[in-house]
Amino acid sequence: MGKNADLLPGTLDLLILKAVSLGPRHGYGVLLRIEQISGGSFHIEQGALYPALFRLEHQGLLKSEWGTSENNRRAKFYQLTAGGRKRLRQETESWNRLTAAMASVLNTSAEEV
Amino acid sequence: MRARIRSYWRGLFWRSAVEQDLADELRAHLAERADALERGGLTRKQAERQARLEFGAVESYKERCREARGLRWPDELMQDLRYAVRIARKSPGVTAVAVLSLALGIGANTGIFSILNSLLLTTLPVRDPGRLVILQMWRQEGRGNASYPLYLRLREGLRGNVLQDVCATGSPSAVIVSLPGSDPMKAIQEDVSANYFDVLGVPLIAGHGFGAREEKIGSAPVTVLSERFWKSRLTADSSIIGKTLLIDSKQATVIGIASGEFAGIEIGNAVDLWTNVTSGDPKPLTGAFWSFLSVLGRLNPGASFTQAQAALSTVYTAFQLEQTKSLPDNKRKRQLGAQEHMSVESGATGISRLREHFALPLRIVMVVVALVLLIACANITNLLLARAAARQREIATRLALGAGSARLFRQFLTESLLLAGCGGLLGLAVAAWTSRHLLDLIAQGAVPLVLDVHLSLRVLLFTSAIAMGAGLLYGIVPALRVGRSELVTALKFTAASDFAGASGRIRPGKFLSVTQVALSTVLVFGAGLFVRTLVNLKNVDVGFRAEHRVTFNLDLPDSYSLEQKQQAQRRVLERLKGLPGVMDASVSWPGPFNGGRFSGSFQIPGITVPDDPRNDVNYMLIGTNFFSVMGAPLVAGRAFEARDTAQISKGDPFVINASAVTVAIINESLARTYFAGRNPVGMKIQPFPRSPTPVIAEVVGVAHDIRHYGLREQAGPAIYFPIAEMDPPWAPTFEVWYSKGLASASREIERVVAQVDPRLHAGSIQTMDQRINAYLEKERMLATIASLFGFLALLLAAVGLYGVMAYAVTRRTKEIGLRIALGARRRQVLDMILMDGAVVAFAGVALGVPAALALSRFLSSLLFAVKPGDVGSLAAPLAIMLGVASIAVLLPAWRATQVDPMVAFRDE
Repeated sequence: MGKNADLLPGTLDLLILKAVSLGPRHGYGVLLRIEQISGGSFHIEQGALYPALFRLEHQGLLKSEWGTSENNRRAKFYQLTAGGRKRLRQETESWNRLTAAMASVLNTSAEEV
Repeated sequence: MRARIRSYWRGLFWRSAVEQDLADELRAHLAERADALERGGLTRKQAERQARLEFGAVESYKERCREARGLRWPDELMQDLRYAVRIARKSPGVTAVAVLSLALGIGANTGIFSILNSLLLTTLPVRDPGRLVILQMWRQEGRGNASYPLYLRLREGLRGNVLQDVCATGSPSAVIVSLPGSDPMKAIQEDVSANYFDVLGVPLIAGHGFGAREEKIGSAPVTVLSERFWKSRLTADSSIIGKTLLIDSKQATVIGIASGEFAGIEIGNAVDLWTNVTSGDPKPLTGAFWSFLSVLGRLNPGASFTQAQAALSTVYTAFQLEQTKSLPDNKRKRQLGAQEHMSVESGATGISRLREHFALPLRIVMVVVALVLLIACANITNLLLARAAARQREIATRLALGAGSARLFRQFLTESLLLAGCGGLLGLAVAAWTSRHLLDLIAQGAVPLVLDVHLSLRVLLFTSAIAMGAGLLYGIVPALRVGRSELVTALKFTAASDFAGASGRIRPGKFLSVTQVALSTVLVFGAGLFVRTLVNLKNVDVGFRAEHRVTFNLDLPDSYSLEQKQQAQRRVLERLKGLPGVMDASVSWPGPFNGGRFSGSFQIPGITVPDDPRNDVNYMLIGTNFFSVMGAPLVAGRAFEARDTAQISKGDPFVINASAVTVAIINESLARTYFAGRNPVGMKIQPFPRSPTPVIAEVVGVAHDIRHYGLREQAGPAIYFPIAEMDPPWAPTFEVWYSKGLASASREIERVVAQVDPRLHAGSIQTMDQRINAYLEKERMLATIASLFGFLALLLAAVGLYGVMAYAVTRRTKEIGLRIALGARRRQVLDMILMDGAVVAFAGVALGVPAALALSRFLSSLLFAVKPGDVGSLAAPLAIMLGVASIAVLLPAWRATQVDPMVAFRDE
């Protein structure tokens, strides 16, 4: 389930998993982390983040815990589960394969055919 | 997977906590974002506003979060349910009718199922019941019992071979038990072999079971009590072990208490105490012709039924050869060719005469109530269709607001299932009532019927299954129709106009009505057959007068000598005759309609009666005034007199003094068959020609044919001997011609018997009518239930037909108004609607009649003097069916003629 998710939510899921893998984060923090590591290339609609987080938690890829944020606010912190780490590895590999294949396809010039 | 289940779990049962978390989390996000914006230079107010704008529609995201957690379906289910409850409360009439008819239907089904369940499916509470086998004796007339010598032989031949061991048990009988210094109480007792509890694997909770001492014939009477009896009747007093109980007139020492629920191997009879069969009268234990035992065995691990069967046949054949060795060749052939054999059957569910007797009738009743439930479901479908039609506006609105048709389908199905659930719950209460009353209807014998019909898991599963099945059945059509609704069509039709289908399209309502009429035709026809069977049986001429005759069995202590027994009988008879209100009294064995039978071959000197079991006659021992007490005067000759004695050697009716010439009375059947055209009085007959010392008896009288063994069985040839100086192997029956009621008769009889000898006991005090009626229990149950449910089916079908027709008239009000306005006469309108209804009724009957005729073939074994396909039996149900149908159609048709065109058009 969820392996062949639609490309767009699938991409978001992957970004979230990656962001969380770098250390437990609360929702807003995940958002900031994604913007930070992507150098601002991805703009994520803020509300859309939460259904994705819920879905990943429901699938057992994330687990959550209430804690205190750096601004001293009560916030829910997400971290990867073992399943989440495994999924991140798989998704990263297949993403790399896909981009490499796409790149080689797109870089092909007429003479090479 | 675990994460998902945990998440569902939290979502379902920690709903508010989950909601709170979600709200808190989003609020935290907005606050953090606002903090960041505030640091960027906005005021707190502006920052908060900006954060909300960036976030988007909070509620919509919340909904998507819930969905992501898989929480949508329980949400929607709750919504559907809440809505269904609201709808149900909005139309209380429809709800009440639906729930009540479902409760009746489901209740009747559950009640009968719970009886069938405990009768047919419940396994015995013994160790490894799957390995328990019954070694069943089969005789020409069906199931039979084994003798004690046969049991011993089977045990010797099969033990340690394919079977671990073999045990035997007699039939349960009603006894009076008393403990010195306490009141006597009624109980059910059974004679069993010494290894009974070991073979069955029933542990004892106190004391010990039967031992080697109890294997010997003539051993001292000892008894094992059931735990239930010990707790409920003997206050669980553990000092009872070692005490002496008086069972009827026999003293027996209590040696143990059997554990748990175990109450014998016969389903329907709860045995209270077991005694060693070897302690009884030794006579029936030594002769191979006294067959009174059921034999059971326990399969060795690894042994199969087939192996057991082969071993059993070998042992039984050897036994039979040995038994017949001393007989002359022709008689031996007869004995061996008598089609007797033994078979191995599964013993897991015990044995039950009741099961044999009632399995088919109860299955028929099950089918009957299932059909009634079907008919009721059709009515509910009609109700729901009509309600759906009235809810067109609502459906249109919901479609317009974006509800999917799948969602509407689910909504309507939920409404149906809610009704089914309520009906099912209420049905459980109805079921308790049904099964109790059905048991009362079945149980009329002397040994009370104890069936465990409590709500087991299987019964509950059955109930929910039929409730849900019924809900789907009646709910699917309305739900499908609503689910298929399209917005435009839904908006176009208003509530009053045709929703259920434009005229010309086939309407489900009429289909359902046709089915209902067909099914109720089947039921009414079946009820007619059963009622006629019962009436025919009640009208059977038994050959004697049953009214004002009270009968009872006199139990005599086994230890009494023949003289003591005869003296006791004589004195009871004398005292009875002296009672006020008693015209006369007599004694007989085996008594009429008493269950026992004593039959055998006979010869007539000069005529050779072919030696064939089919020529066997029934023998009865009677007192001098038996025929006058029974109101059945002799056809010829004289009755027995005091000077007539059977001169049959003491102690055994099978052995007759060689020198003696005795007297006999024969019945008309025998006279007709063998003395056609001659006067049999003064002729000689030879009873028991196989006896080693045959005698000749002189016929002194000819009696009317009297039925002794049931209403279905012809009297057949019978020979009567004087009972004086005979020692019947079980209690003789007294017949008392008494002008007062049974209650005073019971009192008087008990008093007289106790006065003569306190060790005597009068058992089964009943009127002759009661005894005869006990033979009709099956037929009465079927006739009662089939009529009751046939009537119910008829009523339901009539209501259904009426509903469909009334609805059709309402729907066509405008059309009828138009016709009338254009000059149609009322008569023509009436005809039009009547035709409409008649088509439904006749179609139903036309389908029902062949179905009824076909199904009735399965009933032939239960009918009496009615042929299953009897066309005469069809006339009454057809007339009733069509009569009821015409009333159901006539009312709406008459209403149609009353349509006022002006009103019909103003209606819109």
